[in-house]
Amino acid sequence: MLKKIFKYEWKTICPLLLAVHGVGLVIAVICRIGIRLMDGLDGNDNSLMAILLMMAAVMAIGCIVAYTYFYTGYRFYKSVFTQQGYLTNTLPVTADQLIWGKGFTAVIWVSLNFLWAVIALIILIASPSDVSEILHELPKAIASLFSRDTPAFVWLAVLSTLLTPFSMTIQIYASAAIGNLFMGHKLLATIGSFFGISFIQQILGLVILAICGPHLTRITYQAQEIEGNISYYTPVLNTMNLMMILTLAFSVICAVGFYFLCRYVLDHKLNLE
Amino acid sequence: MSTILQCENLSKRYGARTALDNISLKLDSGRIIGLLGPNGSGKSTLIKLINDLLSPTAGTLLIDGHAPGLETKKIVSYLPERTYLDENLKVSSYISYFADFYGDFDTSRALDMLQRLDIDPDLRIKTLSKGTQEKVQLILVMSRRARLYCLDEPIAGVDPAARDYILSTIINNYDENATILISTHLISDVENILDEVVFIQNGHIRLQAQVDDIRCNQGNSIDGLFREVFKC
Repeated sequence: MLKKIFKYEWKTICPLLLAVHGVGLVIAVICRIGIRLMDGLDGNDNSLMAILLMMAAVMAIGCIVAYTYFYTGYRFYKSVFTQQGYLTNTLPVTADQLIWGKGFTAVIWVSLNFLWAVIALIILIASPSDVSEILHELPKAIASLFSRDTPAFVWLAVLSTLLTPFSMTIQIYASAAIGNLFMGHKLLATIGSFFGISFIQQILGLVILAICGPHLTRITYQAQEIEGNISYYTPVLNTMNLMMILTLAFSVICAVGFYFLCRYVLDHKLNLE
Repeated sequence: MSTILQCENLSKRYGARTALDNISLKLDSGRIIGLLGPNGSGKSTLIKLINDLLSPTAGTLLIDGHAPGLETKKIVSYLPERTYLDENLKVSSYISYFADFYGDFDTSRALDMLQRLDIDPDLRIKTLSKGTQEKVQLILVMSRRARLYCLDEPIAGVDPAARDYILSTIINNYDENATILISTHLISDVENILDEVVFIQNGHIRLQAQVDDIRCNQGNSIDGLFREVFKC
């Protein structure tokens, strides 16, 4: 059943997002040509127009990235908590299958969205020589990631980036679940819940770092003293690693909490009008 | 005759408002049952509880021996009072959708009904009139070989000709061992197809009786009895 949920969600979500991202690429190409026709961004009479065109294109790319998040979240809200929910919630599937099936689709699109934005920016900004340099350096950068000298901090950053689509998606789903608990204006309540959750998360994250930060610094400096290897670089890096781990752990705990909240609402607190 | 639905001391409250108050009910298989009551009497709440769209505040509800959930969704076919079809999808997409998710869905029966109504499966839902959308939804629901059909206000908001079609579709497309629970306040339109009625008012069961008993013993039609019971 999980595969079936995924299949239908994918089929439903793809046409619009493919079209929107295709239009985004066309905009990037047109703006690139426009900037080129105005002789680039270097100081000439057309440079202001070229800069404005560039800004407009970057804003369009940003809007499409944000829209993808919005649309995947809205799809979940619409198919589960509005009239379409009368069908979705009477399918012989569990709440877990529903969340995972729809969630995978959203996570894939959000991840593709990130790659798409990089490609769109390359089309917009990079010169042919830049592109060949990127293509040349990319394998080296990936290979260096797996070398022994790579600081743990880099890996933690990569892990954090990979986790973002998951945590963001489940946060949107949890917001929709909270919005469903309101008697009216559910979409507004969903949007409000999303920003409310984000605000609380930021505050909690800062509080945790403020409380744990000094302890982490002390721990790493003490460890350094025991080893007797005085260096300014290593303790700072170790502190950053520990803080990164703390932040990641906080994100994972939040995501798990959001998942169970979502499941609880689907199982026990559905409120379809 | 086996019991398909049983609830005991079932209550549902929305905050301070009580939608269902401590009701007990037992429905047998193989019958067409009218769940009749005025607007706001608790009909839709009961049907939503049966379909696991709401959780009871108190009491138990069993469908074929199971609490509402995954197992009961396999045997209950539900027609809500609102259209749940995605306007951007085609009718044929929904045929595939139902066939994929419901093991008891009969695709050929659905296609046959669509053909008889001259509805092109390749049309998108948004190109259909509201009445046709409701017919498509009814066809999807009645093309399942379910044990229990819950039809919430299936004839409200459609013209008399469409009502006839809907009622004949209901009668002609269910297995004799299945049970149909029809919720409506349009009594005169459905009374000829009912075997049994349940009158519900303000969240209480006022009456559960066989249609023949009402006609023979009380010498009254269902519509007449409804007007008596729910007289304002």
